[in-house]
Amino acid sequence: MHGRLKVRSPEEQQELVRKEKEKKLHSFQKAWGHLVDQRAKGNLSSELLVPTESLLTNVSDLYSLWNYRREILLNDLASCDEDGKKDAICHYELCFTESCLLRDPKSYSTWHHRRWTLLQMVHPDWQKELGLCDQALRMDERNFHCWGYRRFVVEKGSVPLDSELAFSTKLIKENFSNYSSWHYRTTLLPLLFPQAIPEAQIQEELKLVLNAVFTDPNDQSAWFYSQFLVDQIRKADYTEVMRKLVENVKELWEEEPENAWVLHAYVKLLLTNRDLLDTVGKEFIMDGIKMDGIKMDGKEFVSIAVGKLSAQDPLRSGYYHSLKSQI
Amino acid sequence: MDGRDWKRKRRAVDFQRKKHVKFFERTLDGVPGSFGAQETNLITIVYFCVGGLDLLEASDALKKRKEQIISFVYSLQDKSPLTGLARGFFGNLSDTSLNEASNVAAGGFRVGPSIATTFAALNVLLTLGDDLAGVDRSGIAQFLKSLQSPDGSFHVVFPLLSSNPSSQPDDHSEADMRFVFCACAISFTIGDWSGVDIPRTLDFIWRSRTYEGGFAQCPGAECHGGSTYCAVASLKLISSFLQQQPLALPSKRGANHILLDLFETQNQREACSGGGLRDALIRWCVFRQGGGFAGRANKPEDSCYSFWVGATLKLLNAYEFVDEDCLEDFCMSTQDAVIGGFAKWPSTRSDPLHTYLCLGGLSLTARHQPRSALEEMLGFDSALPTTECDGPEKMSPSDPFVLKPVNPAVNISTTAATHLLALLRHRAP
Repeated sequence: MHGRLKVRSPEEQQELVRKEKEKKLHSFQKAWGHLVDQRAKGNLSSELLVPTESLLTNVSDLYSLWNYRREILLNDLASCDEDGKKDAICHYELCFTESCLLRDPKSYSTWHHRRWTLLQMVHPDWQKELGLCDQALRMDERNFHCWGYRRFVVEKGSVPLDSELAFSTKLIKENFSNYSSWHYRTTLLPLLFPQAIPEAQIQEELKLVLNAVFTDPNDQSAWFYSQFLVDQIRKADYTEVMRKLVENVKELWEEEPENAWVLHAYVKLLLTNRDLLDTVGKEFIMDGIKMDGIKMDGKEFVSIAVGKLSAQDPLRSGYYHSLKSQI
Repeated sequence: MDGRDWKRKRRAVDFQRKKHVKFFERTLDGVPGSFGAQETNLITIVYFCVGGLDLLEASDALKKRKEQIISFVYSLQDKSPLTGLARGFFGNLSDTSLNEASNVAAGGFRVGPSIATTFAALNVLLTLGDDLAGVDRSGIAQFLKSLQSPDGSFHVVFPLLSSNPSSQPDDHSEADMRFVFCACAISFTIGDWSGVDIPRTLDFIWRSRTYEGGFAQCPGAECHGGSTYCAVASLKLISSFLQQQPLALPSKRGANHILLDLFETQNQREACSGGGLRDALIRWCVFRQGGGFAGRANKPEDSCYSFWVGATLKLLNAYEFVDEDCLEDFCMSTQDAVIGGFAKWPSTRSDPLHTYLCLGGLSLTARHQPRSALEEMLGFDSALPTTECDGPEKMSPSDPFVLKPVNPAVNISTTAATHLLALLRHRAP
């Protein structure tokens, strides 16, 4: 279901539109009925690829029809004696799915069918598929079908993971807001470093994040990615890295005291690092004013911060107040 | 009267209840023929309309069409006499009528029913108060079994070439969290979980959790409002089955720790800190609200997420974190005051899916639930959170803006859910 702009047409126009729709519907029903009938009779002849194609071109998510197409193709592929012939059949499917994707880049079934096609090929061209992904992501950088397909291509095609990491870095540097490219790193890094992400790499990641949040503290992409990094730092027990991160975020907060994203991140870091919360005598400053003669510890700071967050971001005041239970 | 109360009253006045009822009625009466290619999933549209009319308490509109629709739904049930093959519900008649003419000797080539249309069909029957006596429950459980993938997810349609030993999982239709939810909801409804390998399903769900706190369609993907709902509702349904307790909306005072137990067990497995998995999930959901809810970060708000994300928070007993006024404002801005219904965004055309889900989302707010009727409808968990007593001014049950609440775990109204529970209790040994 897609949002379409409301257009009020005069009655005659509406009647014309209705007649056109009815005509299309009848031809769809006729074609659909014929295919269902043929499939029920077990007809797998390749000439039936043509009518399935014309239906699937107009409507993407007809699961049964894609299944039927795959049955016909499996039958064709089984009777092929040459690799070249097999790949030629698949190549046609690649062209067909590409044209479907141009019309509807978010069709689960079409991406799935393309994935299946690649798996049938003797000599699949994984670089070409990466190119298709690049193209689709240029059109819509948040298309999760395409990102999923890219992960499949990278895995099956043994695409070097560090080149993919570089790809993600390039996208992020072009646009800090590209949430999906930040997300991509969370799947790449564990694959590149199955044991634990080395400290040096974490430092690189933090540089990227801090760069983004210092440039635009209101963009949530880098803040959410930082959660992933905090988890990794905690698991690997990089205490110095954590300490430095908390300091950096504190610095940013002192520059941007009215920014709820920054304060929230700071509060979350304090709650994750109990030693900082429990330290007595450590001074925390609220609103640029050191409480005269009073030294706040982390717990008091968080208590007051929660109130400030609720005022800065009232939509989530209930959630912020719930953080107090973690103190 | 303060500004907030004035806004609430204004929204009640603006709510075009009669138009929404007519919108659903027109859609139902336009069936068949008005949907073009959507015809193959007609039952899904019927589900949105019947469910929507139920939430709007348009009992006359439903009564008028009840017999016809129930008979239509049963006509979709796969009754082909193919020994050992599973049952389910087709999306539309064009699938079944041709299938009945199928050549049995051909060995099973057919346009299979889908897991999604089966889910929709059962929900329509429940909403209309049918006793499901005509449903081939063990057949449907077999159908589900044939759809589960080795990785724990579920495919959408009957696998092709089921007798082909070299058929690969990838030869089949797509499999993801949407259909995991359908499998769980169907199993819960028919009271038969033999079609679901629960440990494998749980494994798939947890592997699909992301660092952001929510759940993706499958492992590795970004988490998303729709898949998060599907995962959490599935966990809820599975936990209800595991503990063999009746379905209940979580209550702050109540004993419903089942879902929380599952989270706690996973917390320990993943050695989580700082609040745990449930807190991370709540945080992610809460940050989807910008007025209305969006499905992912940096995406525009869309009325259907008032259900997907709202219901998730409800299941987690964390709906109190929703800013209900802002949510209501956004939903009302997507109301189509000309033809009725609700749209995805403001100033776009309404459609049955967004209308049903937006109404469902609105029905979760405290404001839409006359207190005594809610307790009555819930029946099995009448302990309400104390904050309800201090809540905003309640509209009287006869107010046009009051909606019947939706049950967040199975996505049917609370009366339909109560009916389902009664059926399950009646069937239990």
